[in-house]
Amino acid sequence: MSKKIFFKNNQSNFLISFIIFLLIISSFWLFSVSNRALNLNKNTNWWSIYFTHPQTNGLSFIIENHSNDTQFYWKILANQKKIQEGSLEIKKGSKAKPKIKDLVTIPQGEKITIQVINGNNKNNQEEIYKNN
Amino acid sequence: MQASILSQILFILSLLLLVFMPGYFLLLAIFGKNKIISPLEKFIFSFGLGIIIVDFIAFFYNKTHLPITASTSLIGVFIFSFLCLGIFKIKSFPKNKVSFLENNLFSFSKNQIFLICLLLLSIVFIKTAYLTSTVTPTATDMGHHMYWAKLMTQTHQLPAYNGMPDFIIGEHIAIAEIAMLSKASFFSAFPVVFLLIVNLLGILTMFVLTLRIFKKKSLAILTLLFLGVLFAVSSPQAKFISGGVVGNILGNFLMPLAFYFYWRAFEHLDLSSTKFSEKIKSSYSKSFLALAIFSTFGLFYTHHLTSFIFLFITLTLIVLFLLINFREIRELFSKIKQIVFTLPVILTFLLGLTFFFFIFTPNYIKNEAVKTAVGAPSKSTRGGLTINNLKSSVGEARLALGFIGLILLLISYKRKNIGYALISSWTIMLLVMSLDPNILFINLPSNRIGNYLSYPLSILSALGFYSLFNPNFLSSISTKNSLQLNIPKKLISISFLTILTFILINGLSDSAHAFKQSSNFTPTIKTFDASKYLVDHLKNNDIVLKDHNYLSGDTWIKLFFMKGYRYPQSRSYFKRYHDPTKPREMCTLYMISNPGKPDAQKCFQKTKTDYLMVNPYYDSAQFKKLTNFDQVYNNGTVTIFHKK
Repeated sequence: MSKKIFFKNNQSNFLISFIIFLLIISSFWLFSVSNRALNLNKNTNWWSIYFTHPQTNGLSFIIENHSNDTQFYWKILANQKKIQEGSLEIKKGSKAKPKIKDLVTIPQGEKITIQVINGNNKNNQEEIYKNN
Repeated sequence: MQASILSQILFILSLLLLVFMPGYFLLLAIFGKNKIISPLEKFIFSFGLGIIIVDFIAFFYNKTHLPITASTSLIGVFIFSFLCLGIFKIKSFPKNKVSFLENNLFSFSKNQIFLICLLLLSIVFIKTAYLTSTVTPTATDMGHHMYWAKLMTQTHQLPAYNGMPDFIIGEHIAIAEIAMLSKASFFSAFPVVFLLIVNLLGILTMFVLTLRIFKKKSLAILTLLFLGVLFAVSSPQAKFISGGVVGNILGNFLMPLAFYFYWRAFEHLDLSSTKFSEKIKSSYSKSFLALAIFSTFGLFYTHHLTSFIFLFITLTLIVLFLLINFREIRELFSKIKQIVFTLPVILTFLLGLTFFFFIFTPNYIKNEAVKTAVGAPSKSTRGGLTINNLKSSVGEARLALGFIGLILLLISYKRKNIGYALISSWTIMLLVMSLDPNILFINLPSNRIGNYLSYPLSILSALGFYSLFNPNFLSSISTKNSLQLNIPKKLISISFLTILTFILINGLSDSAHAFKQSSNFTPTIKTFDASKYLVDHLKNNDIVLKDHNYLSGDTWIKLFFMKGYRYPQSRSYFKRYHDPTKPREMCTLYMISNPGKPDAQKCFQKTKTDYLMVNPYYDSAQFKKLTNFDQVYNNGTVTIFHKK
């Protein structure tokens, strides 16, 4: 019987240490997965556009890039008619505010739409708009 | 990378200081260095007791209007621990003679140690692997719970929950205090890791409970297999962790913990009166009972459903035990009196009652939630489970072997052994509550009750499986010699392999499905990014409405704003707006689904909603044709409209 007993006095301590070891490994694993998952620029491929002043008539907007494609093409439409366009390069994890000429607020009764295309894929397009 | 490692170290240290330390010193003050509980038990129970101690310290602070901060929480547990250390230093501990059997209960053979480690490794690996695909903050319940915990970290007071009875204070205190001390973000893995640890400790509590009751190591190891490894993902295991079913996870630790202490308090009832009186002098029965009462109060402060179930099981246990031992009822009462009417027991009971009714009363008592849990079932989901439902709830293999185990337990029943009464009552009461709640006038979701069955059924499955292939075992634990069975060894071996294969395939299949899940965290990150945009641009009087149907992780949005549990407003699941029993609030539906209609316009006026957060794929066309809405943010999965 005594031969079968494996370092009897320290067994509980061994088991406790093993449990702590497992929990620490598990904790590190989960924390690292979570940190990676919540990192906006790691293994992500998306981007966003938004107005800098959502509650005013101002049209300045920002493009924020979390995708690998750094080329952006933008155009401004007034009631579906293109009035301005431009392109810019934005590194992954960065954002940029395109320079808009002349038009800074929306003329009365018009709907101004800002369309942005990422890269060469025309389907990779998003838009925001404001009415007046 | 370094910051990430540092934050994890801080989290582990906070867990040890706030949760483990007070529990450990409480056990030291009560038992000293006595071998009456093994180091493994001390380790497991320190966490359970620590969670309860932290709660009680917070209640005390709340009553005395002291702020609950990282430093006051730490001071609280340090004062408590020093007091316990002081008691340990000055107290003389009765020398307890631990029997040979008891002394060797935690001495395992090499093979057994290997098996236990293998099982523990499997449990942690399966659960962690599953949780990696769900670790980002998306679960609805987790979002609700973390809001209250985060609120505590900001207000440094206990939350009032706006009178909602479904949130219970014990679910949030430890999490909030760990967050304050470790500075861990609620958006990190820390809530999931905390629940995983609690879940594992609950499983280990079942392991030691089985070992103590049956004094059989193989049986305890099998319980670890049936509860921890098999069906490791399905509810109430890893799925409850990822889903943030905080109360259930804590309840499934605290309830077996309380049962363990009750068992240890009354384990000597089977001795003759003279031996019992002698044993009771040197044993710690009254200390165990005091701890049992303390754990029971802790459970009542943590989860109402588990507490409700606990009461039913305990009542059944008392009735069953007294009925079976009716002939010796006087002798039994005299023995029980020697344990119950003692200073530590009465003091703990009075202290618990004082806290419960005068220092801090749980919300569900104030709001009479008990009344809503009693009565005829109000929904079809509360009318009871079928055997098929039960099979999918606890697992086919566990149910089948559990029934065999129950029958074998009843055959080999030791009527004076309260452990046998505990396991029987635990199983039978849960079976009745989940299969036919009408009998008991219970109005609770049957499936939720059914999930609790996996705990006692794991012990019984272990008993069933072990007894089937080791027939001598039954005769060794039973007083009835008629249980000697002569079965050919070859038949036993073939049956053993067949049943083991069935158990493993059946029990591991849910884990295998879980590993196939691919995880895409991007929609959740996009929701959070849109939330940050709103936080940066909102004015004090702006009101936000978001959609719950098509946004990922939307219940976590409120953690960005911290402007109230119901901020932002939410368009619920569509089915919730069609309730034939009572009129429902409709504005949240109208304002997103038909924003141009007169009903919606009235709602906008009434609620002053001016920002709407939706998925553009489903909910942008209706806004586009209206001239009083601007689309101000868009990331392809989440878009924000501003109403002028």
